[in-house]
Parts: sequence; structure tokens; C-alpha cells
Amino acid sequence: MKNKYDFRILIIDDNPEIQQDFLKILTPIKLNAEITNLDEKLFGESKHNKPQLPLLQIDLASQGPEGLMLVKKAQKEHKPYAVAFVDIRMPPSWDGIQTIKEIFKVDKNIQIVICTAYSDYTWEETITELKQNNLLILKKPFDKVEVKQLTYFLTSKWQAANPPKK
Amino acid sequence: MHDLLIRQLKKTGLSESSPPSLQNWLAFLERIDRTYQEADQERYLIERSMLISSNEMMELNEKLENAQHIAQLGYWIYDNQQEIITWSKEMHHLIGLDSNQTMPTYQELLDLLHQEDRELFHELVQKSFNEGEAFEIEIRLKDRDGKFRWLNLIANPQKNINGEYYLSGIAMDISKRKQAEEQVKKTQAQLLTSVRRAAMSEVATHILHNIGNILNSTNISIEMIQEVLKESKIKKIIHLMEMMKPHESAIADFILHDQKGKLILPYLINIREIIQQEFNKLLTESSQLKHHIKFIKEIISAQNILASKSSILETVTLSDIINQAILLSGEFQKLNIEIQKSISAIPSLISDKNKLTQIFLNLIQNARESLIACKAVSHKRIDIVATIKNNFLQIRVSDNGVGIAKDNLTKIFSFGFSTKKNGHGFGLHSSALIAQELGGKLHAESKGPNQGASFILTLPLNKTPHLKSLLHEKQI
Repeated sequence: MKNKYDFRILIIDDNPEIQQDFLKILTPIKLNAEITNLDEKLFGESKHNKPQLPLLQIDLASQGPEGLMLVKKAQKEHKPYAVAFVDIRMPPSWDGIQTIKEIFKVDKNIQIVICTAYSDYTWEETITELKQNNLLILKKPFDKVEVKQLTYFLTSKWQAANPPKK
Repeated sequence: MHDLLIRQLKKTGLSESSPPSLQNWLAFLERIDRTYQEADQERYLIERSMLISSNEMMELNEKLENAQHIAQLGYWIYDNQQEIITWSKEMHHLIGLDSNQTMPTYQELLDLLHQEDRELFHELVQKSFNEGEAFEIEIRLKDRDGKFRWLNLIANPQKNINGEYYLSGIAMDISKRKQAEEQVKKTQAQLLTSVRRAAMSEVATHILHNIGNILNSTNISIEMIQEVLKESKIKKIIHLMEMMKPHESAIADFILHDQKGKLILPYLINIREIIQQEFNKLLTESSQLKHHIKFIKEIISAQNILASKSSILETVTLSDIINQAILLSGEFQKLNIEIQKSISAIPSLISDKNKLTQIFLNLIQNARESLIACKAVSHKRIDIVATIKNNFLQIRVSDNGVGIAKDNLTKIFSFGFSTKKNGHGFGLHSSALIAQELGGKLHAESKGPNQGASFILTLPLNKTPHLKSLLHEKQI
């Protein structure tokens, strides 16, 4: 049976407005089949001029431990997350680095993007701290395109490393 | 006749009135002779002891003078009836006179004083003569080379036999101490500046984070608006109108029977909902944009106030300052921290807005961090209460966070001391210094660990802070 979504994405950010920003960017506009059909007949627009993007199921967490809990739950349900966006500064609990460390302990395949408004750590410090260099940094303020690109690139990377089991 | 001679006469049995026998006479002579010898001996002893004690006196005097010289301390007496000043040798050294030069008069001394000290000194001297009041003053006296030396002068009025006052006292050269004090002051001012810069950069980091987040949402809102506009079905309506225009005269026929025209009505019905959604989206995003931009403006204007370097004394409203500090301190609602203020009844005061904001920013940030670190408290709150007591304004910033151990209550104000994991230990230090500068003080109260803490800022009302120190500050 095919899932209703292609990938699961996790957003961990203490700022609700940033969470909404991610949702806005990653939630595709639903295409109405009837209108698409009519558009073609009335204006001669082709159905296929827009790439069909993967469907994402997005979960939100505002603190590191909460995010970790969701990752563990997803593992248990065998529906792991493909990508997580993690804010670097999330008082009062764990910061981004700590959160990522904890997540990597339970899920080695997850692709992680660190979001910073300014840098508490440099990239070098971050990878030294995490002993891991497959991290991407997303600087705030970010653009829609950046987030989309990262998401689609990382989901395909994740898929390549985790071919769907039959 | 001398009593002693009468006694000698009696002892040898002689009388004044009659000549003695030879035997008695010889006895008498022997006695008198012995007396003279004893007197000689006594005189010798007295002369000797006088010599010894005057030598001792001289030695003592020398020691005293030497001690005065080492201490750079002179002793003086001033009698204003006779208009005579007498003083120890060291006083000559202190004002750079040769020891054989004549003593200056009181008027001459006044002329040697620094003009800023002259009036106060003269006033104190007069008061001392009139009311018998002792005084101590630090004065600058011009020496022979025209350089000013700092003297600490202590005067003590005493009464002479006629019951009139004369002054005696000491003077001590404190130029070196004054120089050291100046150096300390300078260092302190430099320290204050660097502390302030560090605090500013902390605030800047905070602001950067806040603005970064808001800018993010602003950016996304704009992109969403652009996307809606780009994909908007409104364009389709324009297309439809253009499609219908050539058929204006027979529009009913076109809509009912034309192959394309037949689709127009179903199309309009279908996009009705989408246009409504687009409209709602534009409305939401644009109002969010407005909200975010307003927030950025507020942060920037709060920052502007902090960024002004110079000290300006002005009439300040306490509630404005505290609100500003809260705004700059970061998020509270999300952390479930309630802020209670009771500051409305306080009159405005003359002070430095910038500096006051800095103190409150520090206190509120500390309270916030203390509450963040305190996991046990369910109802986290910060209370800011202002009261007036005896012409002093007291503002108390209290939290029910981690509290302060008794031993640390004063230590927390010292430079470099911090109980926080990532603390640098100059926030409270600089706040306390600023409070002092504003003529007030800052102290802490806490019942102990996990029992919350209060910081109390006391400021004088109706009294402007010392302008001099503020001007001094400006020059740095």
C-alpha cells in the first residue's frame, strides 16, 4: 500500500513563527483536478508544465527533547524521518548541537539541517563537536527556494541510502 | 637668717647672741664645711643630669623631626590674635621652602592654595576659630616650582589661657596617594567602558537573533504573497473577460452554446473557492508583514536608545524604561514567565535614560535566566515594584528562581564573579557601578538557594546626579 506521503520531515524550532514559515514553504498548493482540466480546455495550458513535488508529512517540535521523542517514535513505527531542520538556539532546553547529538544516537540515517540566525558555533566548531561532517547550515533569514532545494535534495539522498523495503 | 643655719647652730649648741666655746666653734665649722661639700656634689649631679636630659631632648627632637620627614607630615600652630604661624621643620619641606626661609603669613599661604580649595579652606578656618570646630581637608598647595602638591590637613582648635581659640594640627603630603587614586579612577573608567561594550555586544547578539527570526518570517510572507500573485486565478478572470469581449452582443449564446463559452460558468464556480483562499492568504500574510515590521521597528528604536554613547540627564519615565528593558530582554510568554509591574505611581525623575535601561536590562535578563534554570517552579514570575521612601526611589526586581547563597550576596557584584554556567561576571558589576554613578546603589536580597532573589535599585529623588562624573565619562 502506498503511503499518503512520500517523506516525513521534522522541524525543531522554538519559534512558532519559524515553524509556520517551514509549513508554508513545504506544504504544496493542492491542485484541483477539475480546474486543471478546465484550464487546459479553456486556455490550452498543459497539465505537465509543473513538476510534481514529493508529498511531505511535516511534524513540529519546539524543544530538543520533544524532537528526540518524535524521532524515537518514528523509528518505532518504522516510519523514520528523512530530514530534520534544527534551530541552533532553543532556550531553555538543549541547544541545536545537543539535540542533533541525541538524534544521531537513535537515527543514523536522518539528514539534518542546522538553522542559525547568527552563529554561536562556526561550521568547523559544529562538525568537530558532532564528529560528523554531513551537516548543512541554513542561515536565517532564509528563502523559500533554499528550504525547498534542501528538502528535495536531502530526501533523495536519504532515499538513495534507504531504498524502500518490499 | 637661713633656717638651715639656725638648725646647725642649735645642733652644735651655739646661740646667736653669745660667742661659742672653741670646741663648739670647731664642731660648727666642720658641719658647715660638710654642708658645702654636699651642696657641691648635689650641684654637680644636677648639672650632669641636666646635660644628659637636654642631650636626650635633642635626640628625641631629632628623632621626631626625622619621623615627620619620613612620614612627610608636619606639625603647625596658628594663632590668629597674634597673627603668628609656627610649625615644625617638615612643614617647610612640604611646601618646598628652605628651612632658613621665613615663615609665610596666613594670607601668603592662602595665595599659594589652589583657587578651587581657597574659599572652602578659609571658611573652615574661620568656623574653627569662631565655633571651636575641628576639621580635615585635602588641599592643593603650590610649591616653589609652581607645582601643586596635595596636602591632607587636620586642624584642631584649642583654648589659650585667655580662653581664646588657637589652631594646631598636622599636614601630610598625599600627592602620591592622589596620583594613585587618579590612576585607579582612570582604570576604572576604562573598565567600565569595556564592560559596557561587552554588555552591548551581548544585547546586540540578542537583537540579531530576534531580528533574524522576524526577518525570516517577513521574507517568507513576501515570498508567499509573490507566489499567490503569480499563481492567482484573478489573471484567469481577466482572460475570461477578454475571451467574452468579442461576443459581447451575443453573450448569452456564447456562454450557452460555444464550445469554450460553455466552460466559463463551471470554471467561475470552480475557482470561486480558490480566489477566496488566495484573498485570505494575501490578507493574512500582509497583516503578518505589518506586525513583523512593527516589531522590528520597536526593537530598533529600543536599541537606538542604548546605542547613544553620551550621558544625557533628562526627565525620564520609569515605566517607559522598564518596558523597554523587558522588550529587549527576550521572550517571556513562551517560557511561561509572568511579569508583574507595579510602577505606575512613580513620578518622573531626572536621570540618564540610557544607563537606567542598562541596569534594568541586566536585572531582568538575570531574573529570566534564573527562572529558566529553575525547573521546579511551576508558576514562574518576575515582580517589578517601585516605592518611594524618604526622598529615595526604590525599584525592586524579584524573581522566584534559583536564588542566591548567602555567601554570594555581595560577591555577585564583584568583577568576574558569576554563578551562571556561561556568565562572564560583569553584568551586575557594571550595573552596580552605573547605579553609583547615578547617585544611587544596587544591592541583592535572597533567602538562599531556590528561594528566589530580589535586586533593589535605590535612586535619589529631587537630586540630580553628580554632573562632574558624567562629564568626565563623556571625555573617555
